[in-house]
Amino acid sequence: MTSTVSIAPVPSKNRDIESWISLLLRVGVLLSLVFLCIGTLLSFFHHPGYFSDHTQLKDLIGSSASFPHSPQTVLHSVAAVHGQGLVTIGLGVLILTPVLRVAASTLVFWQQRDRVFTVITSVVLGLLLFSLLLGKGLH
Amino acid sequence: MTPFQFCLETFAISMVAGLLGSLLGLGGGTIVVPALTLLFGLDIRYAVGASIVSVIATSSGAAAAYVKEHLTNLRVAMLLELGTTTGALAGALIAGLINPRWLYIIFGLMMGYSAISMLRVRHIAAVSQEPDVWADRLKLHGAYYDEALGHVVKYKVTRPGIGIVLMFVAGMVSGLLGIGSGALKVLAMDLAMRLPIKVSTATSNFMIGVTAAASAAVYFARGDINPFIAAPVAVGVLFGATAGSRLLPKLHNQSIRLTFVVVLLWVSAQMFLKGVHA
Repeated sequence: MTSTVSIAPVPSKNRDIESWISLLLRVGVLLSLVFLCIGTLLSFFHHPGYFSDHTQLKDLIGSSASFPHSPQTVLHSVAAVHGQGLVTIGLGVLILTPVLRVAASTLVFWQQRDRVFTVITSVVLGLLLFSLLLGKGLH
Repeated sequence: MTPFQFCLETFAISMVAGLLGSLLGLGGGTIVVPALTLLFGLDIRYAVGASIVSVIATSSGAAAAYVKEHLTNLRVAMLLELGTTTGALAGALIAGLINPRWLYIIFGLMMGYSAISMLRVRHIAAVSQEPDVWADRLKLHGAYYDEALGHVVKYKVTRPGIGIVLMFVAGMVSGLLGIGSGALKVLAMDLAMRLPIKVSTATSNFMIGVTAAASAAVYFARGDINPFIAAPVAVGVLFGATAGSRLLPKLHNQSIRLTFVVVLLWVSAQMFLKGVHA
């Protein structure tokens, strides 16, 4: 019994796009890793006390720790070449990689002239962007 | 403890978590959060924040993810993302409002469930032949090349509506606890929607990163992602998971898995009790 199953079209051209997207993702993660590592190393470089001082840890990881997490404070920190600022940039890049992935998928569906899924992926993208703004609004 | 010691130890523990996670098919998050809270006494919100970042790292960066791309059913993934993303947002917001002790309790329960589900034998479901109007309309059905079988396998998808609802729950759990909740996602796709195992695994892997990004943004702006903690955790879990997926085959030996299940159940109990006694 043959069934007429409607399978989504996957022309080989889209396979290439998907490959590029995967590559983009991995580059994004690598870039983020670079920022995370350099930022952490820089923090230790600027604070040699971190290697021997037993009293500073509480300020760094305790509930009352302070670190940049709004756009202004992050840019400030990066401008002053603070390690934690660079780490935060790395974290931001990392959080953005899936968002880019969804944006790319939206384009692919749009190219395929698949209206329903262009809308669906756009909604997901919108939700992701909304989460970024929602976060800002919590200030 | 000096900051340097903390950084080093956190990195090491995260690597182990990533390694174990990839060996057992559990996310690194499920191991990292208890490790950070029970061993280091870290505020659970920082632990969850750091864990979410590491989940994105492994989801986007894992070399295996690329291979699985061709197995991922992108349409099902994006459709279900409607559920997980809304759930993740809700979970992330709620996490900031409720008393942290509930996070411990829910984490303990969720971790217990994940541990037990490791023992579940996943049946290769017969390809569903039931017609599903929505699945047909949305063209969710797919096909993939099964290397083990050596030919293309076609499959049909059913009950996407239930799938979305289950995904909302999975997303919410992910937003609350900072884990990938792959166990829940795979459950929904296996049982509710009848996707083949390889497809549901690959699709789940893809979705996990997007879901985590939704909650991560909220945690980040709320100041729950501490860079000093998140950096070694993200890098450590990523290294561990990548090494694990490349160097070691997935652990299938049931008796060894059983040992891990017992250990994980014990840890889940610790988390649960920590929440109860808080």
